[in-house]
Amino acid sequence: MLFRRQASAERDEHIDLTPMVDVVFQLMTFMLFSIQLTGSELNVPEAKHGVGVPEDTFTQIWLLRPATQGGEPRIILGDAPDGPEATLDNVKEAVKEGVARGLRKVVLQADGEVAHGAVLKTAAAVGEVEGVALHIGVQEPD
Amino acid sequence: MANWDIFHSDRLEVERNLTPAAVRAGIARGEIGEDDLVRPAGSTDPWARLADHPGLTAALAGDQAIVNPPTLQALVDDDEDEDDRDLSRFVIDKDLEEGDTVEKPTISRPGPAPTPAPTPPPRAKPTPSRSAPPPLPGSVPKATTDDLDPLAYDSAVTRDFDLNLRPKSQVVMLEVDEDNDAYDPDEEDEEAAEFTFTRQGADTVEELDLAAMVDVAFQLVLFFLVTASTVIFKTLEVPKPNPEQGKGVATQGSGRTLDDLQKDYILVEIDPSGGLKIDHETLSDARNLVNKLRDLRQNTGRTAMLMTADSATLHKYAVMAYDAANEIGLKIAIAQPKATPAPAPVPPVGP
Repeated sequence: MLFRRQASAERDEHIDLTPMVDVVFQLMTFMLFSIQLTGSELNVPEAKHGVGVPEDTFTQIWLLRPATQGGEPRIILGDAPDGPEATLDNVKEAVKEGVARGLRKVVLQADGEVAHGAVLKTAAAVGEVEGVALHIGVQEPD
Repeated sequence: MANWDIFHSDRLEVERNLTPAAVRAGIARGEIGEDDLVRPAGSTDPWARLADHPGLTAALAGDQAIVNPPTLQALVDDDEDEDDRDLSRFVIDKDLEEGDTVEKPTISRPGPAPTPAPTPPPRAKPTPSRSAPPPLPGSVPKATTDDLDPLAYDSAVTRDFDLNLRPKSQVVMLEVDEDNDAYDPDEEDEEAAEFTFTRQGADTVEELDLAAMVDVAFQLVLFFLVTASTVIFKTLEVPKPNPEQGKGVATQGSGRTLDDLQKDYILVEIDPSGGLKIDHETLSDARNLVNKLRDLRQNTGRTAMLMTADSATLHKYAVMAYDAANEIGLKIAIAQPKATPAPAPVPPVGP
């Protein structure tokens, strides 16, 4: 009627937040899933001076705590520590394959509770391949 | 009796030369209403509202089809003590909307106002929107078409404002209801809702305020970003062990004694339980490792660390030593963990 408000100027000032909320929630979902993969099974040692390594620039080797006390640590290859157990020969092949693809870095994600000797054994297998640099995976201290 | 010309104000047509009986019949059928205009047939008299025309009203006074007018007594009584500008009790003709056309013909007010009480409106079934006010007792003036004259106002807006700001004595009071029920203000408010000055409430009330949710979501995203990015990909570069040494084959450096090595390297030994020895001296508190290494580097000029650890030593203790060396810029060498007389170092790598 006559006293109806002129145009809806007030409403136009609002930004529609719905798409932003959608994006934010997608990001959150992604983060949630990606953080799950690093799982609780592996707890790499803490170090204050770790250097960030970009993703997809290295071959990754996981060294998990032995299933039984005093046993050999489990070696796993791949992007996540959920693959089948590998041998040192598998490690060497994987590193060679990585070098063939241009991946000159090898990151050894070893659990803090794994024996130093076992880590060095795996590192020695990596060292058999020429032209790679070895990195030990660490995490920021709390 | 003289005949009449009737101007149908609802459809803007003129019927000429109607007999009083025809007028009466038209009123009975509802074709002629109080708002229609009338003048004596063949005359040039100004048009007057049918309800206000004394001659015609008198002529039709005996009509049996007329219903009793609604009483507004309660409404008028209530108004006695109220503020003049309290308009909530008035019902304003809803049909007065913008764009509506109102009768064009010039209208003359009948000279003396007719005495209201004895004459019921000559109307059998008045339509609510166009009905004229019934006779009003007391001081409330009757509505006339002058009150609705659109030409008296610049625009519909000023007209409406005017209606609402005028003193009660000047405001048109229109018929409220056809029956004799008690006056119900709530019911009237519904009808007149479009005209009230009461604010209708914000249009945006139904919208959810998402700002707070976005804040929380962004904080969560930041938290996940920070935590997720630091877990996996932080690394320390360490020297590659020589595979030949790992297989126990004697190499060039295997003959060197620890004393020889101590000239070039700061010796750090870690036992299986994490106990530290630096240059064969036990370090009681691992937190002092960095300071101790820094002192040794400054005092002796050695720029590399040789870490010797038992096979059973946990990896985290070794990493602690690597981290300390990185902190003060020492190069790192790792001795093979086996019971050889002199552990052979691997070539050091700079941080």
